[in-house]
Amino acid sequence: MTVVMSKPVRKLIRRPLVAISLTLLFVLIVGSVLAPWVATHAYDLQDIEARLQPASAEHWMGTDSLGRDLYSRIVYGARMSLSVGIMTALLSITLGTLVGALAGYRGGIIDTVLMRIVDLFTIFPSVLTAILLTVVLGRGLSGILIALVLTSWVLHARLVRNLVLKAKSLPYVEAARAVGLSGFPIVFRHILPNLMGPMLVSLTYQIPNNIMAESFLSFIGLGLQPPLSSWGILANEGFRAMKSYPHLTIYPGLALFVTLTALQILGDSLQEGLDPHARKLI
Amino acid sequence: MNIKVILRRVLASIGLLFLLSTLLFFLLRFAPGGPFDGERALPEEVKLALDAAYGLDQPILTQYGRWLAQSARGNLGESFQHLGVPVTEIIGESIGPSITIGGFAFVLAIALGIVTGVIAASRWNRPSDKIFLFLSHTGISLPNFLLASLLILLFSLKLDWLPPALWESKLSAVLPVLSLAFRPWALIHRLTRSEMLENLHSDYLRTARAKGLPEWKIYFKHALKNALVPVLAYAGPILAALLTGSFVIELVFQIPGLGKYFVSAVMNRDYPLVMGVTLTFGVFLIVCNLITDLVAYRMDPRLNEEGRPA
Repeated sequence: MTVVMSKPVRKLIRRPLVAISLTLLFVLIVGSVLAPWVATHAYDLQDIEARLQPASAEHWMGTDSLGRDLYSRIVYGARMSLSVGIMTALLSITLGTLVGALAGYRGGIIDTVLMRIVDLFTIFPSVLTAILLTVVLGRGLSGILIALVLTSWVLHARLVRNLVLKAKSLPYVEAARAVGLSGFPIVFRHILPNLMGPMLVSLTYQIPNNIMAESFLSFIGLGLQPPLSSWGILANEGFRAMKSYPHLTIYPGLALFVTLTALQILGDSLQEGLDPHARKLI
Repeated sequence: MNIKVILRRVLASIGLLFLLSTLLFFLLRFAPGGPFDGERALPEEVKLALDAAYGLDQPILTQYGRWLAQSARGNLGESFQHLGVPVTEIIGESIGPSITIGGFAFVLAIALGIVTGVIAASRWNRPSDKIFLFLSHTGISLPNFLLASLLILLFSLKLDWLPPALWESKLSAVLPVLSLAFRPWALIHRLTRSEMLENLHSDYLRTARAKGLPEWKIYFKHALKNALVPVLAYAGPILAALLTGSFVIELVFQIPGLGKYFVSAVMNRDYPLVMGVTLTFGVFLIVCNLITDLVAYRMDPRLNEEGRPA
């Protein structure tokens, strides 16, 4: 993990925007881990007496149409949205790395077959594929997780494949081969550690993408289902009552937007610091 | 690119569509739950009769054969959800709104993105560049349903200038197009800006400046021309994403477009409609890819006819 604390990264952390983003994400992650203590109510506790209330000392951000405390729902929503985003990103990066490294290092027929599978997954925009997958996998948490991993591993696999392919002919890999190392240690002990930079960038971009995809799916009703709370669900519930109660959309929307912005800033800065040649990539 | 290459690409695309629809057909049939599993369980006889009427009681290969034979003749079957209405009719009616908002959003995003990208590059690191940079960051991180909600709140509910939903007058398209165009504008803006900057600081333009070429010629005859190659290559996927990705916006604004039907078909397991809309999306994507490659090939002679570096 030397790359994480390397000089360019340490330099990045001193930038004000990056520092703010990192602090914000740290607070969000700690807050969602400690959600039961940070929240003031249970996320699904209904109180018909206290429906659609404005903000008060009891309900910091008011209540929704079933009398649930909005602040607590946003805290639990952070927990759900962040863990779905981070978990699927980690899984898809792992899957993508394994497939990409295999295809890139072995080449030949294995490469062709694996890359055709990757092509098949990239015909459609990923959210569209995810929607189709929810038909088969069902709605709800496990369906969403699988759908997001299956739609997001392919770009990473392509990236790793191309990087491994390039690394294969570099002197340090040839040297490793010359001293008699076999494929497995060459890939895992020599090539992949050298690709940490671009892979970290890829991971940092993957998290906001997946958080956004989850919120899309939940917003249109094909993702997670209420009474669970995620920012997409909250935005959907808020949208229905927007005319009279805009705060129900604005607070969860703000949480989602700020988180995505922080992650995006982090991704952009990491890319600039670790992978200056790939700046054109959006 | 000659006719032969185009024809080969089109044939390959048709093969791909066929493969895709076959895959989808079997995926849908093996999915848990059926089209007639509603909130209340139907009586057994009714369910059997419905299955028989739609051929769902046949072996799956027979169903597949029949679907294939039908769709080869341009008949995509009847919708389960809208009883008795042919899928082709639903697609024919809903394709218009989707293409309208997707198309306008595309033109707006590309045109504006190139203009602001060039302005930002020429005002590099000055206030106007920073304002656009901030806006483009916002555009990339703001999910379009949130932007749509905010626009409705401001322009429809508070100011009452524009209709909040439905597809009735020309004004109905304004908010959906704006919500849809913001993110692609941000992407095009960033790409144009960084490409322009790279070109403006390149050796060949330093030479051009040294030889006394006027600044406007450097910008528009040289830098912009080269910067546009990657921008236009990126335009194809953006158009495809706009045409197939407007379902959230269509749901928010209640626009009777392909995306809205697609989502409700997926929710209700309306197999023929899901297949039909997916195939339509597939055709959109293939056409967009083909046009992108053609344009890239015309603009950059170093590329081969597949749009890749030769």
